[in-house]
Amino acid sequence: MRLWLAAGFAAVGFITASIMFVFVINSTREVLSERSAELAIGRTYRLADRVGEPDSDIKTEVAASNGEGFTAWYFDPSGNLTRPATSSRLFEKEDAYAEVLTQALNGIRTSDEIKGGKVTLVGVPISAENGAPGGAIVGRYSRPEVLRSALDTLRSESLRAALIAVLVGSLLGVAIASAIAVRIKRLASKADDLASGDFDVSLPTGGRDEIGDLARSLESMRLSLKENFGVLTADRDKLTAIFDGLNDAVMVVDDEGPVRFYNSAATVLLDQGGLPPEAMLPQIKRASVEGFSAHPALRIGDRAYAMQARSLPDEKAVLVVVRDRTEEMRKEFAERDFVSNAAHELRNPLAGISGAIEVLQSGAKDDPPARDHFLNRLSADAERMSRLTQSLLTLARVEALGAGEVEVVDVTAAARDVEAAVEVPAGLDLILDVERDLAAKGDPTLLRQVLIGLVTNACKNTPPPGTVTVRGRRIGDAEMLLEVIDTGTGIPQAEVDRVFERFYRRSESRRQEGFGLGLAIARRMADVMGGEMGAHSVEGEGSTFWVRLPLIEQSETPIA
Amino acid sequence: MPENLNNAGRILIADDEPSVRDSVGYALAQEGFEVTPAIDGTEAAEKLVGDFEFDLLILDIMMPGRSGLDICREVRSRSAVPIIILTAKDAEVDKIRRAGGRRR
Repeated sequence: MRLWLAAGFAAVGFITASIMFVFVINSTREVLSERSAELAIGRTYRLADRVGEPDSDIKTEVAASNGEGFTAWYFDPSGNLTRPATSSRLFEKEDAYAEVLTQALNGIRTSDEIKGGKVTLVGVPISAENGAPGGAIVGRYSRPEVLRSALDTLRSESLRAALIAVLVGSLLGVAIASAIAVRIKRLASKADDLASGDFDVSLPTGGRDEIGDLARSLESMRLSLKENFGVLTADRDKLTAIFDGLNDAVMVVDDEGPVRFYNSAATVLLDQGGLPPEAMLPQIKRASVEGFSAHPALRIGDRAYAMQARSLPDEKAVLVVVRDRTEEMRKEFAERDFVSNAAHELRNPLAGISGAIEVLQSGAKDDPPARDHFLNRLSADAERMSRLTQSLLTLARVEALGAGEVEVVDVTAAARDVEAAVEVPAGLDLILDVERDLAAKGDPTLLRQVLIGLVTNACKNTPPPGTVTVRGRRIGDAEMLLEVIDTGTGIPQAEVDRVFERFYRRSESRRQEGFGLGLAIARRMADVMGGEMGAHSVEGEGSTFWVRLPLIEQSETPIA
Repeated sequence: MPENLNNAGRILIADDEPSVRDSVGYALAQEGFEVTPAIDGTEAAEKLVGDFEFDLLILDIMMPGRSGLDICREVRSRSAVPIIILTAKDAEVDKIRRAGGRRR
């Protein structure tokens, strides 16, 4: 910019100087030529007048007129060169001389310029009357060297002036360009800030010229960009918050492979390199080709996901929405298992009952020992079905319970109550180790049932001699822990969590009378009371089943 | 066991459901068979060690200890004794076939 402007100014200076130069030189030359002609004509005329006077001494007159670039020749009427008595070679060699001479001899005054105006020729006829000699005078005026050198000086001065004009023009160009450039540069750097997303730097809007206008336009652009950007940012933050609030994983996967966007639920799905899990790739590929694909239960590790993939052709990407169905499916399976287990548990005694009836009908009724045996069996089966139905009803009822009304449970008293209610087999000791005045939030009936169940279980699973301990204590300010600890056979690690499943019976306890519903019911009861239930066990050493309940605040503990 | 053909057949019945076990056992005994009951898979397996002398095995599938299918598979590998599998579940049929059984 600076250089271009400097060059422009220089060019303008140069052209101006050149035009002036040509103009001055030409007009000077013209003026000089005119003056030369005038001079030549004047001198020649004067000489001719003097020669034309009677008794004039031609020789003296001609000689006197010569000088300062002026030369004169006198030709007699017959055209012979008389004065000066030098050679007439010029007149023989150059047509211009001969022409002027001829014209003059024929009585016509003429003048002519030769050698580019440097030399003026003048021819003047001389009268032959009244004693005049006749003939003609030819004058030649050659512009003196002084004038020529003056012209040269003028030329070189003009040239110098042109050079100075070029130089000054260049410098001026650079200066003006710099002044403009500084302001534009300042604007440009602010515009760069704008481009890089910094909308908070205001632009210098001073100046009433075009640059000032530009700055004001940019400034108003900045303000509207800032506003729009703010709106966009807010929208984006809102969307991100919505996406991150979703339980479903949302990803936008590039057709090339990498994940372009994902919400927080998707974080667990992505592998180390930030790529979607391999199991999803075929579905994503299919979606990008066919536009859509879905899978109801994709297994990734030990979890199951429902996924939908939809192609975004404009984005060259695929939108993937993934929902974790693991818990849902676990529940579905558990429900299915529960129904099938319940049916099975009901059908077993029914099969026994049908068998016994069939045997009785086909003859055993007449065989008293057999009859008594099968009648007893019938009674036992019926009783078992009744107990099972009772348990199922209890389970159904407990599962239907919402968070019940919170009552105050005197845990210390409840434990003593349980000691009285459970029949402890011979060889087993039941030990109560419950802190005094322990009161929890809960339901006294439910807690009693839970404790009776746990202590009964512990007794069943502890071969004598052994102990079953009921321990209750505060944990921190807000909770209490109630434990039923036995010294029994224990439960293998793999089965500890499963014992709370409905109808789960450890192979060891198959022979026993339970249905595998007791612990499921107890855990549900603990949930209903706002508590928690769990177990830990060491095989061969014993098991601990624990219930965690919220403590009642001390102030509202009405212990009798 | 051809030498026993003229005698009453010997039958092992393994079922953890006492009423089923007793009624099937009683009915078969009434027909003159010699019935040996087993209250679960464990006891059944104990009675089937080595060269057992049963002409027919009646096994329940779902039993504590070892399942009927498990015993069936093991016995099949060393004997062609007829085996009747008892099941209340339709879905078990495939498992029985895989254990070497045929549907009757």
